[in-house]
Amino acid sequence: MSKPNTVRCMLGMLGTDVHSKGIRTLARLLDEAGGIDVDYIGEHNSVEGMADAVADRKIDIVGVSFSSAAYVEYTRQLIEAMKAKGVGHIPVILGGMIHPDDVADLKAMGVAGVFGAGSKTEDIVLFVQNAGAPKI
Amino acid sequence: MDMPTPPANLFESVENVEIKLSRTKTWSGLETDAAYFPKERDDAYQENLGDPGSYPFTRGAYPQMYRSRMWTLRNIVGYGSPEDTRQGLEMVLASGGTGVSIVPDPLTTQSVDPDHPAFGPEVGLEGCSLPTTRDMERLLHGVDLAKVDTAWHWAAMAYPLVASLHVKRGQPLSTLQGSNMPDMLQQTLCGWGKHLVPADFGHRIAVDEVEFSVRNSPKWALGMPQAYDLRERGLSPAGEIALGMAIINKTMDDLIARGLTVDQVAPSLAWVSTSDIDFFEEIAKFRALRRYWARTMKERFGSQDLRAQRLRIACHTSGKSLVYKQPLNNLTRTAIQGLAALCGGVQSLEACTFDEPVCVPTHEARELATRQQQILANEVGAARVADPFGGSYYIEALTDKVEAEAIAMLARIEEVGLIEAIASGKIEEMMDDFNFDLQREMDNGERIIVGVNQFVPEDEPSPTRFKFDRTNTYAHIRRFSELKQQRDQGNWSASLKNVHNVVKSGNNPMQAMIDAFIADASIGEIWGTVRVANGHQFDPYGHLQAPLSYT
Repeated sequence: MSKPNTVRCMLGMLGTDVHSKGIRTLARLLDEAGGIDVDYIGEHNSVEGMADAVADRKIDIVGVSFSSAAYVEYTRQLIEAMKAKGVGHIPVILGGMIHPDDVADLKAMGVAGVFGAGSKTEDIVLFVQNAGAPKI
Repeated sequence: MDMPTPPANLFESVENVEIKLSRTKTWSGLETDAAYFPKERDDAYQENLGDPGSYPFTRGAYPQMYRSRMWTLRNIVGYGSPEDTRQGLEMVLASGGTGVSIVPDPLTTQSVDPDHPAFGPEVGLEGCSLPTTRDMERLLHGVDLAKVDTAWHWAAMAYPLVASLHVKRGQPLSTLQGSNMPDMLQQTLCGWGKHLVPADFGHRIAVDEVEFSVRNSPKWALGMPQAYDLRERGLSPAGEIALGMAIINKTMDDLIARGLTVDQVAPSLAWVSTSDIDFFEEIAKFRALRRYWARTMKERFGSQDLRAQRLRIACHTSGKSLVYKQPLNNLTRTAIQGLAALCGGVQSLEACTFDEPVCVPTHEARELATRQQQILANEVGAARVADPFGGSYYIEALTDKVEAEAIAMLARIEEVGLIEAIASGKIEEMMDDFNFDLQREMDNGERIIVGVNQFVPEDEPSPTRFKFDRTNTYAHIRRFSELKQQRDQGNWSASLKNVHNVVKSGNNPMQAMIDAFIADASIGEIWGTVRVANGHQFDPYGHLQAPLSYT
């Protein structure tokens, strides 16, 4: 059983992208940071599959890593699918190869945080830990 | 950017644009020898080093090294439709590249068709979409595969698809040239996972490909093991030798069980390696690797042919060592990595472009990667003398150390058994540990990478990225769907049933796969059929059903 203040963070990848090194390392870093329950659902999810997992698993935040240039389109599809399943309020954060020119578009479609190349581990940990703070 | 107008068919002249060793004198004019030797070649020297070109090949594969045979300067190209990539290849050749390396998109390498319902946004985005023999034809029209050596960054399915074009043109398999990277175990380990390709299933197909191409296309080279991706996934240089050799040993055992000998197989193999940022450790690795390979072939497998004991190495500089911030710094990194590879005696070199961490390479970045190798060849003198670090106290000690660590690690893997170690997740766990420790060291400042955890520039302009018009890709996807309607359905279904039957009966399916490609079956259909015959679902992603009944 999770402790009451524990943040449930789901991590996964979409599409055919095989660059799982970063997100697997992050999963361990978050796991050891304290206060975070990591649910790594693996690589190669479809948009529908990931949105279903978000809806089914009662999570507080979802993180997706991309090394494929298709991330803008996939992120748009994921957020739409999450809305359609009634879980559009759950924050989505992105990592991996995110080009700065796309950040504004991603934020506009509802992405809560972008942690591309050069992001610090502690910043990601803090962001995820705060995602579980109770809404007032 | 203005590019020179290429001649009608640049591929015709590929063999003539090799970089030549322009100078054997130093830059100031001192004459040099092809190699340098100790005053006395004692027993320890003969046993552990040997002259360049002599067993155990620590000092190089050939006596004269680059004086007799320059390294092949390769650039990798692949994006969009076959027509798009064709245009990129012509630009590479026009700027002086001597080999073409073609990268298919992730869908193609995973044998997923471009009309798959889940992955439309990815088609052609990170490589060339090549689902059929007809697409191969569009990419390589006018390219004689008996004369031009095409290199494929692609596992076991590359061979039957490229071979199908050659056969369709009426040419015999025995004249087919080129290379691919058949190993599937590394795919399981490097992000494909067990659900895309279970270890034992993938390995069987890799062994099928190696067996078939060695028997039928002796000029086709096999980049195996594909240790590059393993390193990128998370291994040390010693780990590269250990896991790579574990894959070779297992593959060799299986091929010997099928009636081949080490001396038939090993000369077709080339080790696909990386060159990371530690200049000295990488040189030591290349030397230790050649020595350990030679000893393994001779002592473990009883090789009597020096060509089997002499390892050739194809090197691509490390992509993960490159940094997103201030990407021009990556030109410094790749120059040093390339120099390490040449001092380590590799046979071909691809340098990552400086914008590798940003996007698919821009044309400018590709041209600079070529220029970098031309500078190494013509100005630095990297090719002048074989094994320039041989006899250095430091490099010799490091060579021994890397080898000793590799041998210990290999013993641990083989104690568990390679397939079992992969299938159970032990190897991936080891790689995850490696990456985790590395990240920890970066987080606590023990390991510094410029532009990542120190010396990070503020407010940098966004890096330029490669963009191309997707029009051709969309037309390519439509054309693919049309082909499925127009092809001869009788030939098509018979060819897939044949693949299914051959696999079911436990025989080598490569010829059946070549025939199915010629019958216009797609890569997704052929791979799916092989999967079904092995007891797996047709679509590894679970969306599609097999388009025919196999009974």
